[in-house]
Amino acid sequence: MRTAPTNEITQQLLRWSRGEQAALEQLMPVVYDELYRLAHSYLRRERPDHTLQPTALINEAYLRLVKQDFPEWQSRRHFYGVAAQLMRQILVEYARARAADKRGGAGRNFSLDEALTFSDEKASELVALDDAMVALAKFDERKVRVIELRYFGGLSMDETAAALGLSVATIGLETRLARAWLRREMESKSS
Amino acid sequence: MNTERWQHVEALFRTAIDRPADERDAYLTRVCDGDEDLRREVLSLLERDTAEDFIRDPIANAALAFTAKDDLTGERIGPYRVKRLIGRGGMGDVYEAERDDEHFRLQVAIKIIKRGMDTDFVRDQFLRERQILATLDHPHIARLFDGGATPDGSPYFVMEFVAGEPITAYCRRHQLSVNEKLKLFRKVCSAVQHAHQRLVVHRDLKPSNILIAPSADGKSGQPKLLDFGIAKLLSPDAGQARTRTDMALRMMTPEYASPEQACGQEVSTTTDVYSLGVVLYELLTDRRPYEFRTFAPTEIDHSICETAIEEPSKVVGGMTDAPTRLARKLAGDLDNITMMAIRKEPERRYQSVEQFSEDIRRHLEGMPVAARKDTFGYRAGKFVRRQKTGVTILSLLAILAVAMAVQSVLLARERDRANHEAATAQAVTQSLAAVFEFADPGWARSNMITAKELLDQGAEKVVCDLKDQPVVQARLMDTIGGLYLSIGVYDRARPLLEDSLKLRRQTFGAESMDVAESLHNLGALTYEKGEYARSETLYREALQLRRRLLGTESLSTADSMAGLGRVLIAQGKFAEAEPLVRDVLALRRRRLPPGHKDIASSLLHGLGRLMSEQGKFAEAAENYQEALAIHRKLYGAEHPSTAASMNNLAVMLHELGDYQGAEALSREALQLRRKLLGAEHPDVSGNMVNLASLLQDKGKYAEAEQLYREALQLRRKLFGENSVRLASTMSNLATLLDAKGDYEAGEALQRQALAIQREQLGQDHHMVGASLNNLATMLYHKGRYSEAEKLQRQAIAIYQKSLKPEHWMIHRSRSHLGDCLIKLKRYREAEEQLLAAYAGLKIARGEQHCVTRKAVSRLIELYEARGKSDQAASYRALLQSKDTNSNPSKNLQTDKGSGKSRTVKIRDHRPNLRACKAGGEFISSLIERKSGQGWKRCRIRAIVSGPVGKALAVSLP
Repeated sequence: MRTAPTNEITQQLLRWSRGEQAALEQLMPVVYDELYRLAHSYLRRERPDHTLQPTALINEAYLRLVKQDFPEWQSRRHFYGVAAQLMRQILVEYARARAADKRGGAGRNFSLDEALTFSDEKASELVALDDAMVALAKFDERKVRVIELRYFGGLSMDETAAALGLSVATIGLETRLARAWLRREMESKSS
Repeated sequence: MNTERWQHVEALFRTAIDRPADERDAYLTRVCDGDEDLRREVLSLLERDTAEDFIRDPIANAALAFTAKDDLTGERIGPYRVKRLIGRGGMGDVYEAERDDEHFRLQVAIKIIKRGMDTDFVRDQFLRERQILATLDHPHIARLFDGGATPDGSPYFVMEFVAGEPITAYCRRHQLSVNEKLKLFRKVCSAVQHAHQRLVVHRDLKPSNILIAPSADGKSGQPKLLDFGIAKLLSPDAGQARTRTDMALRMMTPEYASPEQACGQEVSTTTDVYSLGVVLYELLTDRRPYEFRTFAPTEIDHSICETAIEEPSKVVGGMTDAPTRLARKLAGDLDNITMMAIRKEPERRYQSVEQFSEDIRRHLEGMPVAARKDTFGYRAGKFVRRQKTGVTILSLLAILAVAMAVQSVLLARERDRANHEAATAQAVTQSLAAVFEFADPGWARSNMITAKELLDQGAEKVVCDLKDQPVVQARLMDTIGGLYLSIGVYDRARPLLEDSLKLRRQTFGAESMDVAESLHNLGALTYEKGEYARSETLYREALQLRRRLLGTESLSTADSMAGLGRVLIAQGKFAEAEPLVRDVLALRRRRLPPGHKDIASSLLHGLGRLMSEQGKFAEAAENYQEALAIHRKLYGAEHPSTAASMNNLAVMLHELGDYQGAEALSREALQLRRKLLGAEHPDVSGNMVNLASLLQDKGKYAEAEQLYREALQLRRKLFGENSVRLASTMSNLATLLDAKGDYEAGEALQRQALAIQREQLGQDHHMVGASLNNLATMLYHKGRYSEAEKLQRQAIAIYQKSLKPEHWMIHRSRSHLGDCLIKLKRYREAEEQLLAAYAGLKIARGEQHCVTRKAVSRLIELYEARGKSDQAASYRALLQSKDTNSNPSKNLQTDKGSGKSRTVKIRDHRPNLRACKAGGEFISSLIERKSGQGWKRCRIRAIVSGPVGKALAVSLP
């Protein structure tokens, strides 16, 4: 895995969270690997609650962070949140570009196993999900953070609970309600 | 939404969600206290408390697409671990990879489409290369092992990894002599020739595509041709390649490109002759005919199309002492040979690689060569003047050619003995396969024993001698197994095919075309053995692999579809089989020339068989007739396939009532098969059963019984004691025994058959239903009506699960059931069954068919028993009127013996058949239907005509 030294990752992540887009370039190799792992664990239908390991981006960097007592990081929650947010932003931007780019383009007619190809339809689905998350954040930001950590950050229930300082039971309920609301929101937008 | 409201919603959601789903609404109604919006809000959220896929899937897909990496080193592709990038091309990258499991290590090269390059065109090209490679099989052409798509959808294929260096570098490093170079070059020619024979032109031959895997002494390296990426098939199938010529041209390598390629003109096998000529030129002189200094389009077009090329001896002469000796060696023959290959005009070159290579051989052996000095002299500009437009295109293309030329970075590696051995052994494969070819019954005629002996020997050799060459061993096992299969020696075929599959899985992993081939062949074997469930699984696996690796339009995919179709039909899964067999036939008609043997096979074993199974005999006969015509045209009268179509057509004629035609055809087919396949072939047994059934219907019981018994003995030997195919013959013989009046033996045999069928096919197979129907009829003959009723109802239940509702066998059983009910004096129920049976049979088999008429006569019996003489009379009128109106060709022989009428009083049903036969009062017509792997019997008795018949009809079953 092409990983930059983790303390550097932590630094760059912090810079990015402050709005420095240039930091993203430094982070990209790590983010790449993380997203790759995330994608493949999802495709293997692993459930985050059981088998999915927390992403190395979050884990390794966090360990380093704790050891070095990084003062800039206010809390564990802050760090995890930033990492998951980063992954969300990258993916959603990519999907938006893709959905806009290919709209009206010719369809593929390739006969090999297509199940795993990225279709424009799926790109639009991610955009719709992000839109719904933005809408939800307007009145319940915490639920959006939960969704971010769990699905974009690949954290398990326990890890999410630890990151947010909440009980696992609460995370479970938060997740369920957030999911239901997002789903309804996406349905209403698509119809 | 305001926060307070939301908190309220959340609180209700939390409390409601713990309650059982059916109590939630009531709970919410209570707590919302009339706030309908609130209740609906919470309820709508509760309804959506579902799976998380709608979040995970788009994230996973975006992440996957986003992270599709440029360099896959360290990744896994299928079962292979990617070790490093060894080449980048216009379309794809090439990696060295390794398959590594506990038993086996295999070094491979994986070619994969680069992300972002996966346009339709590139994908087409890529797939084309895959298809081309799949058709080529030569020790000097890198072999295709496998293919598939990565999780993000990029297609890839896995090839033999060639640890070698380009032919030019190899010759330099090993300082090969001119003669050694020539011998090596001829091996390259043999590979190109192989491709040409399969209508494939490489179009991009150059040293970096001709690698030499070194040998121990450094002197006998083995060439491997790579990169059929821009190869073109010469067949009409590949027509679209021409419309894309410009794109393909961009990918050519200018130094080795022929003038016609540079000008965008028609490419042919002589194009490869040209490129090979350039390679030879370079091998002999260490220079290319022209070197481009600037890659400026003008320079390139000038060089390729205009510049006169100096003869090899002139280029090497006059530098140092050694090259002068070389110049003397090259002058004359070798100059002429080389220059003839690289003439600008395709029509003045060697017309085939074979001629080119042959001339080199003559030179090596000191014989006069065909090549002469170009006495016409090449006039510069002549080519260009004739090709003005071509040159303009060339200017544009040349830029692209340079930009996009495939630059394979192939590193020389340590010699790899395994590769070398694989190459040698592939030669063995080919020769062995050739030796065995005449064991195919179409060739072997009556020399069955010789063929089998030969196979036995070959099999032993392969098993013992090729242990250290698993790839080749697997291949040969598969070949020999297939040949055993074709001569019907199943017990020998099985271990070979199974071992081959095991070896191939170890070698290539689960997802390879070789594995698919083995699965397919095993599917065929198990089908022939009557192990349908296993066969179905095997065919499904083969089909799935082939669909994935070769696409849905591939003929190999069609083969597996056809196999699956057959086994589905055999299992009575007609609904699933129908689209499959129709698709195969359509695909083959589309892809193959008319009159192709595979089209005949589809008609014979696919659609025709399905129609026959579904009782659509006329349609089936049409299909068989077409198959027979194709086979006669292709193979003549004396061929197993011709005999097979004759046999099937005979069965349909039997069904349709043309007994004379059926018997003649059936006898002819049986005679042919005995002659061609030997007396102990499974197809011979099938034919015997068909003929016997026909003879039984014609009343020739003695000959029929003898044939059944012979077939039974043969099938026992061929398929074992528990085979479905054995059971079906037992069932046939049982009905014959019953018809003869040997009820006890008949019943015992029928029960035995039923037990096997239940075990092999499960409880709900329609053949089980048919056996129950037979058994019920036998019990009926013994007067055991209640038991018969029970069995007949079971049969109907099974039919209803396994057959279409309009299938005639359902109605036949209903008719029988009605008969039982008459005997049990349950007239109302009997009437219901018989009326339904008559209506159904009228549609399914027509008014004239004996089975329909039988239902009518039962209705007559019923109404007479109930004293409803009016109704009885009207049905009787129907029966009699049909006699006179019947179509003679379809008329079952109902009037035989009616002239010698004699009244027979029958009280007991048991002896009635014997009595009737003796008296010759009426025709007892026993009609058999071939169905499934065996025979289902439809027994129709007492087709009665005349006043005597009328009397008898009442008392006959």
